[in-house]
Parts: sequence; C-alpha cells; structure tokens
Amino acid sequence: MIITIAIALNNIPEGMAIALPIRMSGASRWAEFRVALLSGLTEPAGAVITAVFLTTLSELMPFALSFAAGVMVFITVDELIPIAHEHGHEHFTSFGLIVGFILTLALLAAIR
Amino acid sequence: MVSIVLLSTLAGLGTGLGGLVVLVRKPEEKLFVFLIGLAAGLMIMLSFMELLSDSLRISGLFPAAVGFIAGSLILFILDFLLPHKHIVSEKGVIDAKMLRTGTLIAIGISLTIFQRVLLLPQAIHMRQKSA
Repeated sequence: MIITIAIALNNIPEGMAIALPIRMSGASRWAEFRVALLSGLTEPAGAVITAVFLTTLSELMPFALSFAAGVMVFITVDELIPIAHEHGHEHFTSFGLIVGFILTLALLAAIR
Repeated sequence: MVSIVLLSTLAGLGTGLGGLVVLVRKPEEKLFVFLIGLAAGLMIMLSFMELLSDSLRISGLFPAAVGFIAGSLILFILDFLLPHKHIVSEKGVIDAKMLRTGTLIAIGISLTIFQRVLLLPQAIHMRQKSA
C-alpha cells in the first residue's frame, strides 16, 4: 500500500504536466482531465503484463528506470519549459522549478 | 492478479489527481507558468534522485546510460513523427500547438509505465514470499 501511495504521488506532477498545456490550449476541463486519467490508466495494463512476465522483465528493471528518467528529463527540457516561456513571466517558471526541486528533496528526506 | 490490477489502478489515478490541479478554473498566466515550472522541477529531481540513481545502483553505468539515451531519443523521434496539425480534435481549441504538446507529454509519460509498474508486482511478490 505504501508503494502504491508512493507511485501515485510520483504520478501527480506528470498529471499536471499533461493537463496544464491541454487546458491552456482552450480545450475543455473534461478533455484535459480525461487525457491525464487515460495516461494514468495505462498503469494497470502495464502491471498485468509485468506480472505475467515477472522473471524476464525484472532483469529489464534498471533499463526501464533510466529509460523513464530519460523520457521525463527530455519532456521537461524540450516541451514543458519552452511552452512556459512562450507565455512570458520566465522568473515564475524558474521559481516553480526550484520549489519543485525543494519539494522532491524534502519528500525524499521524509521517506528515508 | 486482482490485487495487482487494483493497486496499480489506484496508483494510476494519481495522474488523474494531477490533472485535477487545473480542473478548478483556468489558471492565471503567472500561476500557469509557475505550475509548469513546479511539475518540471519535480520530474527532473525525481528522475535523477530516484530513477537514475536506482538504475545506477542495480546495474552500473552502462545499462543506465543506454536506457537514459533511449528514453530521450524516442521522445525526440516521436516529436518528429507526430503530425503538427489536427492530431486530436477537441471543441474550443484556440491553440492547437499547446494541445499537441500536451498530447506528446501524455504519450511520453505513458511510455514510462514499465518503470512504475515493475515496482508493484515485485513488492507483492516479496510480500507473498515473506508471508
């Protein structure tokens, strides 16, 4: 259960990252929530696949972890920060970035 | 199997929860760019402190490096492959580019499911072993 909560917490910034640009595009609230939710619901599908091929896939674990890291860092650098800067107020983005760093580190400190 | 599906669905709902952040009302420009920065900061720090560091600890530098490069390269290629117009049609869209960005991010995030779901069955497996 603790792991479930930890993963759910991990997913929250991702939901924000998906929803914010879609909302700002003028699409409806329902549209952005639906896309974020759909993306989250790919999770049980992956879990079933993983459970079935548990032994084979656990060897891929380190690869999957760093793959996810590569995807997330690329998304922030290539998509998130540029679209935020298109709206101006660059210092607010930078401030959010630093608050995000602090929040993550504080959360990690609290868990360990 | 049922518990795996149940727990991972719960975890997956966290993404929906993040989506709720902007459900309340259309955020102000300054709040919007702050929230994007916040999400970016959380994702970058989590990537390095949790994902990459675990990967390094388990497998060493080489597999971790290959995974990291593959992850960013695939997103880069995806950026080229996605059509630049009318990828998704939604009513009331003023800024199609922004919608495309959101869609690309959604696909990218969905690609990372394996990293997260791998944790769940392993945890359940371990618990059943110890019980």
